[in-house]
Amino acid sequence: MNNWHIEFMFTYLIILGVLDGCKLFFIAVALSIQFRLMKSLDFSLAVAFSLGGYIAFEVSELNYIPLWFIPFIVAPLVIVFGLILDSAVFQPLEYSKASLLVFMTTSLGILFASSGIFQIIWGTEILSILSGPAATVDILGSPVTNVQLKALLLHLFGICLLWGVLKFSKIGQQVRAAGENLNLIRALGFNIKKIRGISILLTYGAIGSAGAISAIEYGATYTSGLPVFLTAAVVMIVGGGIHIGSIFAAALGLGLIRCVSLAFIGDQWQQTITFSLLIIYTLYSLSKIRYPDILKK
Amino acid sequence: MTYILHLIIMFDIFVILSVSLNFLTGYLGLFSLSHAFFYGIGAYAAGLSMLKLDCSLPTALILAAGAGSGMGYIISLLTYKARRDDFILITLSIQMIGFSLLMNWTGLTNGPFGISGIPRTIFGTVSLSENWLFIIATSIMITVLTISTIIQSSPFGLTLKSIREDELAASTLCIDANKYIQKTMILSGLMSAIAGALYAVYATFIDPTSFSVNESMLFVMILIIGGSGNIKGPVIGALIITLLPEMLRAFNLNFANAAEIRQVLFGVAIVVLMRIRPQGLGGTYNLK
Repeated sequence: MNNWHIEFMFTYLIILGVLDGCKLFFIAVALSIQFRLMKSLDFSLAVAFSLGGYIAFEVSELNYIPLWFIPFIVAPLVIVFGLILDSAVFQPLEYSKASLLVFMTTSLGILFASSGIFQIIWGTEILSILSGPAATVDILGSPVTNVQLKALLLHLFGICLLWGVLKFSKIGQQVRAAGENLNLIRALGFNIKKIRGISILLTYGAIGSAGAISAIEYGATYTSGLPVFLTAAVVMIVGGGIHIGSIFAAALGLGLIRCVSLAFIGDQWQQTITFSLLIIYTLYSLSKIRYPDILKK
Repeated sequence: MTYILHLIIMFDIFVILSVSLNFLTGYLGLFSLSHAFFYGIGAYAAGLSMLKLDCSLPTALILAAGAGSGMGYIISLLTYKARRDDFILITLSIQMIGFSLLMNWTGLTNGPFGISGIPRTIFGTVSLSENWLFIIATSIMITVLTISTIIQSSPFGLTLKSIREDELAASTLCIDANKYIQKTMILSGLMSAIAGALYAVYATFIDPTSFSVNESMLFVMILIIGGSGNIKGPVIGALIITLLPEMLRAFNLNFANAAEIRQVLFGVAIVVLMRIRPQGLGGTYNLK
């Protein structure tokens, strides 16, 4: 391979890494809203991602709706799913003062049941939305497809929307404050139900639209949710789960590592790289915690 | 008759698996999401040793047990000090990495094509019939249940439960929780690997999809539905997962979707149980 080839491949992989990082950042920010409120990993968000993909497929079958508009149709439907799930499953658990492990196990049950339902309804095959080769745009000498570019723009739009709501709106500040100290917010007389509803709206809306965008790029399948959810969870955990800047750094870092490593070890080891990073990070964070502190968790 | 033997052998394998997971979840309160990897290590160790090294079943079982306990020791080093969410995250990561290895280390595991034609030989060239496999699997299952019963009321088992209930209080009695967790991980890995070895010999074909994170979740579900913290719970869970497809058949449900329907019913059962009975149908440990 000559220098030109190496330079071309490297630039292309970096562009792919940035695209991957933006996707991960969008999903990780959405995850962190729910994580801070529930204090536990909510696996039902993986269901929301897959569901978003399947709804996108069904909407795309209507033909007259432009592809870039599909995520905006999918998001409200996935939000409705999230609200139903919350009022039927999670709120009763909260009223009964269930432990975090019960919350997490319940969300695992939802993931398990939904995965079976998806297979019964849509089968096990990947349902492709796009057909034929996509047109490409030249960026820094690398061919990026139109779909990838539109996906990037949609993710950036989603990130700006989430960031704007969380940072500048009154309700967004309340959501962040509830994530920090729910009891204090309750004692101050804020409407917890409303805050919870807004959190669900933001989280499920973002995850659902991310699922729709992913389905447009790669097709809809029942297995798409869990790997994306887990990778975004790695970003959220490594990024600290609180500061948007650190989540962005983690997402971009992981995106770049995953894509640049393609040149050396191939795409089949991406999962290994992602989860090795999580192990290293968890071990590092544990090494900083003194013994009794673990028990306080 | 062959069909009943098949059900009993699968029941034996599920009992061994859920008992091994019960040591971690029921006795220590630690949620492991890497049990399918232990199970896979046992299956691949037994399958490869029998196919490529011409080992007999007892040797393959010993090798699988060694591989499983070795992996249990390695994972216990990685999860040293990890509790609750950290433990779940590390075991989940190990499961994902392990699955990736099984899928992509084609030189050893044959990747997604799996390993077929695993012989059922014992002592040289004598091939085992289903009847003999049933006897061996059931004997191992009874041995595992006996060991579990002994441990349950032994000082070791009581120490594990004390760590689960209050680690700080246990530490004031000079109990080193990390060492006990390490021993339990080794024991749990060993038992899961034996279950995997039995599966490989019985099915004569293994591929990575049988050892994915979904399987790990399924094993956790079996334990949660049956209940943890005692012997009865894992046995009930194993019985349900073995008999559920048969019950679906009795209700004339479309058997083509039996696996998916089972998945839906299990998921719904978990959601309902977490609401009304978090300790499972026959368990004593209430998830905290």
